[in-house]
Amino acid sequence: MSSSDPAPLAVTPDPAPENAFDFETEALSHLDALYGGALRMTRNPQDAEDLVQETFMKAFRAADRFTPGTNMRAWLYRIMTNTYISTYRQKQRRPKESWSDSVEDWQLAEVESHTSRGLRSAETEALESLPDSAVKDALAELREDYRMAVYLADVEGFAYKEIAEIMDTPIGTVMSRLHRGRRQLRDLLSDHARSLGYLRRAEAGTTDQHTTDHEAGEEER
Amino acid sequence: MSTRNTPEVDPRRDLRYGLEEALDGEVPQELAERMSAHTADCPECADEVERLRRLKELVRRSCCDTPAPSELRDRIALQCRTVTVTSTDADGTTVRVTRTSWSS
Repeated sequence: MSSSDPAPLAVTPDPAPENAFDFETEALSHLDALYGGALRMTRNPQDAEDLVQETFMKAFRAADRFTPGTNMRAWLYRIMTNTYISTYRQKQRRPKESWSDSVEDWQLAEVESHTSRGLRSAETEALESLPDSAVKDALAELREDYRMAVYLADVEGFAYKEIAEIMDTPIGTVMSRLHRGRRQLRDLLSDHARSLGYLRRAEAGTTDQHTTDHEAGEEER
Repeated sequence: MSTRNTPEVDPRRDLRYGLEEALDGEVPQELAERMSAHTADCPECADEVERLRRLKELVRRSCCDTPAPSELRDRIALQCRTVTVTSTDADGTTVRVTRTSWSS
C-alpha cells in the first residue's frame, strides 16, 4: 500500500448514540470493588454477597436519581453503607457501635506522639513481610467505622469529602476515624508480626512507647 | 455538604501536623511543598511519612485480590433487567424512564 493515511481504525460508530450513558454496564464495572468493600464490612463472604446484591437492587431502582458524570462508585458505596447499617449490622448481632464520635484532641496528640518516637525501620520492614491474610485479620479487628474509613481511603482511594458523603459524617470525623484506625492498625499489625515471629520483642519494644494500655500490662508478665 | 473543608493554609501551622492528610492528598499544594521541605530535614517526620506511606500501601495490597464470584455477577445482571421491569409496572404514580440499557 502506498497510502500515507493511517488506517481508519478510529471510525467505529457508536452502536447506540442515543444511549450515551449505560447505567447497567457502568454499575457492573464497580462490582468487584463493591464486593471487596462488602467483604471488609461484613467479614463474611455470604453476607458480603447478599449485601452487594441488595445494594445493586437498590441502585437499579434508584438509577434515575444518579447523575451521570458523578462518581458512581462512591454513590454505590453510599447505598451499600446505608444498607449495611440498616440491615446487616443487626443481623450480625454486633453490639451497636456508634458512628457518631466527635473530633477530639487527637490532632494535638498526634504531634506529641510522633516526635517521641524513634526510627523504626525494623518494624516497618517486618510489617511488609506479613501475609495479606494477617493484614485482613488486623483490619477485621478494627471498629467498623475505623475499618471502613481506612478501607475507603487506602484501598479505594476516595477523597475525604467522598468518604464523608459515603459515611454520612463530617470531614473532621473522617479524619479522626482514619487517624485512629491507622494507629490501631499499626499496633495490631505489630502484634501480628510479633506473634508470627517477623518481629522480635526487642524491636517491637520501641513501638510500644505510644501504646498505652493493652499491650504494656499483659506482655511483661 | 460538610461544614468543614480541607484544612486551610496557616503560615504558622506546625508542619509536623497533618502528614497523614498530606499523604492522602488532602492538603493544598503550597502547604504540601512546605511540609515536604520540612520532612526532608526532619528524620522523625520523614520516618512517620514513610511508615504511613507503607501502611497505606500494605492495606491496599492486601485487599485487592478478591473478585466478586461470577454467580453473583450473573445474578445481579439478571436482577438489573428484572428490577427495571417490575419498577415500571409497580410504580404507577410516576412514569419512570430507566437509564438501564437493554442488551438485546
